[in-house]
Amino acid sequence: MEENAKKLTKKDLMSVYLRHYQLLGCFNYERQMSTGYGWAMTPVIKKLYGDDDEQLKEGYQRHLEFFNCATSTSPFILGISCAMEEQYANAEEEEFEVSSINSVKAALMGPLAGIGDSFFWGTFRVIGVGIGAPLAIKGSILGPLLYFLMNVIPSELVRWFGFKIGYKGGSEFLAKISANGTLQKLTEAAKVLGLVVIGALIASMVVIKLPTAITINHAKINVQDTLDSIMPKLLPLLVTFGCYSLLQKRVSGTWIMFGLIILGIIGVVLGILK
Amino acid sequence: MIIQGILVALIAAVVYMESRIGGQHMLDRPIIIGPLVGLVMGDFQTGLIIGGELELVWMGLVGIGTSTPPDVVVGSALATALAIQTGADYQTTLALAIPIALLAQFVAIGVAILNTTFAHYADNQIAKGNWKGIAIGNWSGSLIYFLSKFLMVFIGFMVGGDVIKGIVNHIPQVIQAGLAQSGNLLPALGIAMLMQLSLDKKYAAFLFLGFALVAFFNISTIGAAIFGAICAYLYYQFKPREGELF
Repeated sequence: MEENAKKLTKKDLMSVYLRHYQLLGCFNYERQMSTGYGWAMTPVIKKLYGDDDEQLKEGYQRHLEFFNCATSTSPFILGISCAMEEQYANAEEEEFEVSSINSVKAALMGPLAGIGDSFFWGTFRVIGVGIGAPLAIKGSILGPLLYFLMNVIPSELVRWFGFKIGYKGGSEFLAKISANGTLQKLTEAAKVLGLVVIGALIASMVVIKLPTAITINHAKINVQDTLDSIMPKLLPLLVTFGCYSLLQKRVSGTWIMFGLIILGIIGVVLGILK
Repeated sequence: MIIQGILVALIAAVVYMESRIGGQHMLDRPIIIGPLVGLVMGDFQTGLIIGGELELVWMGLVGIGTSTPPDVVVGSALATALAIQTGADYQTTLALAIPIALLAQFVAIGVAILNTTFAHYADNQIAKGNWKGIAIGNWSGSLIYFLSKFLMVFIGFMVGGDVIKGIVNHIPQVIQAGLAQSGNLLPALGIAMLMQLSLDKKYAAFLFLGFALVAFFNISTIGAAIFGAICAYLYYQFKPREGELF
């Protein structure tokens, strides 16, 4: 068996890796990334089963099953799929349960989607906005540049090494780091970093200034200074948490947006905001 | 004017396609689209600034999982282009961008429904033994995505300018000032949407730490990110694993 063992070459694997970028090409509500996954796995299926039409068809169909995950963590699953297909192609009848290829995919896509989203949507992108947007508003090209690097570099590293680790025994690796709690701690640590930055954004990005002086019974009161002496940036914090609690109550973001616009107009008409 | 329209539409469509066939590195955002549109419209600086402002307002609008949020790509490309073309200020741009993004959202939802056809096409062709079916299906879906963004921005740009000028000239002064104010308030909504993604009570203290660092010490966001990274490191090092005790 060793002699005519079917082996994936570096080129085959590279081709799958490059095709993972098109995972969302035909994204749709019903099958989501199914076509993209089939597209990514095509070189491997062709290589391993190219000489048998029936096996070829089954191979393609296996990878046209429903799939949805974060693009950044998908290469890890693709790597595992490649390794399992290679194993299956070389196994004797009955020696390898073929349905396990898809059960592994199905088991991994949910958790890895969550991890990918919280790292890349929730942490790196937020840091990118936090650093990049203020620079862009000041007119510096560094804004979009830093945003770009913050989103591309960490994500590319996770894709590339994820794919490699996935191919070389990814299931065991994942089982190990999730059983000993490393994976969960990493995800939580990313959340901690993201939240510190979000907190910083509240104080730096939401601007509410009240007039410096209003007169009540001939006594001039500087409202903003009074508030600042209690706690600086108190109003931005309150408004942000107001929006947050409305969102939690399932009020749609669009309505809140209109609400804020109307609030801004009323504020100016009444002379409360300036 | 037609060439400018084509270029602006191309920028929107190409940047968007990065999220479909380029791996989705979160680049289809106002902060990237704004400056690029500015470049074609001959005012890079304004595009850069509008891009940054729109990013703050829209940073919470992301299509996680299967949800389709208001169309940030079409909204920011068109609003930036029209603002530069008509000389409108940021407030007016914002007032433009919001309804455009809401309208375009319906088209985006339609496309994600339509593309189900190509997923089925790929399945059927493979069942019939036509191995090219997957490639054709996946790339057809991409083509529809591309065309939908391109056409929306191009048509919007061609008909938009005069309409916008007409509207802008009729907005009363008070409303314009109010819109300016809401531009300062709207980042609160963007941030609140981010909080929805990642805040739970267990970690709330970290949010307040970031807030307090800036509110009391006035440090920059980069500074806050460094403190955040230190917190994350400490958390990782000292949090006991499941079953371990101090």
